Amino acid sequence: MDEIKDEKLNTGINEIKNIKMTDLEKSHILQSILGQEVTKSKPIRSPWFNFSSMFGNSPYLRLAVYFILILAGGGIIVTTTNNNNERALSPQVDLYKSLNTFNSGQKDNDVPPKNLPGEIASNIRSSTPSESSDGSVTGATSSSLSFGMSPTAGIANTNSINYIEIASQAFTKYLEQEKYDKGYIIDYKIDEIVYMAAKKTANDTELQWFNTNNSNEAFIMRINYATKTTDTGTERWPASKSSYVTIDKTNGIYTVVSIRDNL
Amino acid sequence: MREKIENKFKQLYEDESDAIFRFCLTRVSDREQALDITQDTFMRLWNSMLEQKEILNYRAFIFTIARNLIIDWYRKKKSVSLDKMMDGVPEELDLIDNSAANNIEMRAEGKYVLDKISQLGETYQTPIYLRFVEDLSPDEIGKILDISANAVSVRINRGLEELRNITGYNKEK
Repeated sequence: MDEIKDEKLNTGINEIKNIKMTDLEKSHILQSILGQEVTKSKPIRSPWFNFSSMFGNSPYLRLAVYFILILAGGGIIVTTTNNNNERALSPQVDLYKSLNTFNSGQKDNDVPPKNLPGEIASNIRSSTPSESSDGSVTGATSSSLSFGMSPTAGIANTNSINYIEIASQAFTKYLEQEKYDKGYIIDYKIDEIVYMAAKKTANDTELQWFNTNNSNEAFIMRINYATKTTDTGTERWPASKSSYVTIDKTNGIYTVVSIRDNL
Repeated sequence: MREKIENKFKQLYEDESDAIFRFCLTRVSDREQALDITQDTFMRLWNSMLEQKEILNYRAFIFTIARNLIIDWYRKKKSVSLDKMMDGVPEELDLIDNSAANNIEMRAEGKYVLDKISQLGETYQTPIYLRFVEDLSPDEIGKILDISANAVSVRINRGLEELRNITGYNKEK
C-alpha cells in the first residue's frame, strides 16, 4: 500500500541509498570497535574494606581488634570525664554564626569567643560536686561563683561546671546576635556566671536545685555582663549588669530563651 | 561464546553500517561527525551484545541508538530555541538537515528528493525516510519512534502524499 510507484521518486531514493562509507572507513571503524577491550564498570571499593582486611580472615583476630577499639573508646570517655579542660563529650552548644557587624568593620567570626575569665573558670572547676545515691552531695566546696544561690550545703549538687560552660557559650551567642541585630553594641564581656536553678521546662515557674526525675535541660543562671555601645564609647567598660538568664535545650542546641532583671 | 557474538556483530555491521552512516550523515551534514556517531552506535551495540542483553529487533535497536546519539549531538551543538521553550514545544532534533542535500555528494535526483523529504512535516519526515530509504517495516519504525505500527502506516501514507505534492511528481502522471 505504501510502495512508491513514481519512477522519479524511486530514482531519487536509490540515489540516496548510494550514500555509503568507503571500505577504508568501514574497516577502520570495525577494527577500532573489536580492538577495544570492554571493561565492565566495577563497584567502588569501600575504604573500610582496606581497614577491615588488615585483620585477616581470623575471627579471633577480628574480635581482638574490636575489643581493643571498645576499650580505647571507653578510655576516651574516662579521660574526657576526668579532664574538665576538654569538652569533647560535653553537651553540644551551637557554634557562632558568621556575622557582620555594622560598626566594627570586621567580621564577627574574627572576634575570639568570649569564655569565662581563666581564674573564674579554674575556681569553678576546682569544685566538682557529685551526687551520691541518697541525694547527698560530696566534693562540693563553697564557691560564690558556682553556687551563688546556695547558702546551705547540698544545694550545689548539680553539674555546675557543665551548666556554666554551656551558659557561657549560649549567652555569648546571644550577645553576638544582639550585636548583629542592634548595631550599636560594639563589644561585650561576661564577668560572672552563677548557677541559680534547674527547671523542668523553660516556662516552668518552679525553680528546683536539682531535678532528679528529668533531664534538667532548662536552667536559670545569673549572669553579670557589660556591653560597650556607640553611646558609651570604646574607652571604658560601663558598669556590669546582672540578669537572670533562662537557657533551654531545643533540638540539641542550648539557647537563651529569656533574660530578666529578677528571678 | 565470544566468537559467536563477534560473528553475529560482524554480520550486523556489514548489513547495517552503511544505513546507519547514511541516517547520520543526512542529519548532521558532516562526514566526520557521521562516522563518529556510526562508530559510537556500533560500539554500544557491541557492548550490549557482550553483556548478552536481550535484543528483540537488532535493526530497530541500532537505529534507536543512532537516533538518540544524533539528538544528544544536536543538544550539545545547538542552543535550544527560546521561543520554543517558552511555547513548551519540544524541538525536533533528529530531522534531516536542511543543508544535507547540498553538502552530500550524490546525483541531482537524489539531492532533489532528499531536499524534498527534509521539507516534509516533522511527523512524516522520519517515517518516510526510514520506510523508503532504509526499507524498515512500520513495526520497526514504530519501535524506533515509540509509536504504534498503525500510527506509522498512517504517517507514511500521508507523508508520501505530501512528498508527491511537493516534488510535483503527482502532476506528471
